[in-house]
Amino acid sequence: MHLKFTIAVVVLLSVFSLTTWAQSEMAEHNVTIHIPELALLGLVAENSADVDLQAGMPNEAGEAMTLNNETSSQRVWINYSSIVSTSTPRRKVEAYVKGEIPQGITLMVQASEFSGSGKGKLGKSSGLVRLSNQASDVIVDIGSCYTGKGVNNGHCLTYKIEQDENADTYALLSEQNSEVNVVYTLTDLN
Amino acid sequence: MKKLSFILATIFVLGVSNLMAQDNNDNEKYSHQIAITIPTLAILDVENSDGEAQSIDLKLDVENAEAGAEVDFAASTNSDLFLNYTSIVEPHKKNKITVQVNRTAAQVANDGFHLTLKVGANNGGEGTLGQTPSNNGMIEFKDNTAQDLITGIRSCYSGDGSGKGNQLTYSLAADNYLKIDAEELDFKVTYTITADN
Repeated sequence: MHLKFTIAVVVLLSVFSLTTWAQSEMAEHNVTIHIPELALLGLVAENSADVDLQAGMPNEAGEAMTLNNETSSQRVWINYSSIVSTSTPRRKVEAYVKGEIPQGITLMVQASEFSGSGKGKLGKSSGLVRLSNQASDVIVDIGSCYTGKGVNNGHCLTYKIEQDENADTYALLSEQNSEVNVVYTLTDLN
Repeated sequence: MKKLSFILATIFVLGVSNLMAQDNNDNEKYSHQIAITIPTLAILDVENSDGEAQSIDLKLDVENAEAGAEVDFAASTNSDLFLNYTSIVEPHKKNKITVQVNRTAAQVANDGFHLTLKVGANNGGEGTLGQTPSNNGMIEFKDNTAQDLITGIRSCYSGDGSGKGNQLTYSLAADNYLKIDAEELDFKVTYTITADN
């Protein structure tokens, strides 16, 4: 009897056991990105942030004392960083006075338009604004942005004092050294 | 008697001869065929220490922000994930790995920032693993477009599991502050190994 046989052996080389888990040409994963809201404000100045305003004294008898002078040499800058959302699309900077403004005197502030290294939707100055114990808008229409840090970035503040127009008020003036605090807040514009 | 002895001897010799004769074709050698088949293979996955296909979070850090300063988008990174792959190619063929971010048109339009990916050098693999992007392994994602990530892959394995293969570092980069909004964005990133023609 002749026995002839041919053995054909197929050797499958596989690195993975194909019965335990499915391997694929594609893989996917989820990514979640969170961008939170942000509202930060700061005041910066080259030296002190304190501002002095002095009444101008007359040289001639009979002349009135003048109060219509603006800020002295200190330059105070407002810096801010903001990220808005669809529910809070805009912010503003408001200011109010803590303490008592002397009688017969009006205190005002004006923020310059933006300058510096910042980017984004920076705010617009509200011009010359009268300050009181109630908040007044100083800069408005702020979106997502940053002014840049430090002096020469953001908005420069100029203060002004004026004598009240009312004729009676000259009588109210008295010798005073008053100190007040002006408080600035970056808040939602609703 | 002599004749009978002779006849008996002949029968005996012939009988013995018959017993010793082989009735097949056996020689000193015998051969049979074995066919070995190595199939082509192209598989990949993305893993971290917990296993496959994980989610990652990228959160913009505003806790350390300062008034006036730009928020540091690039500080939001995630390096938890590792790309693993195994490839076996025919002669003169190559594979490549592409990556695609899948985002809706609404997500794309409103951002003001984009996602970047840095692919680290291989750890733990062998073979012709391919080339990662030339810009220090970095690509900037273009939405809904398959982008080449590793090209020129031939027969190789990258190493399996977290810490092996290529580390994937995702980061954020700001483009346009005018368009940045506080939001939470959810989307998928897809990796595919495919023929590199």
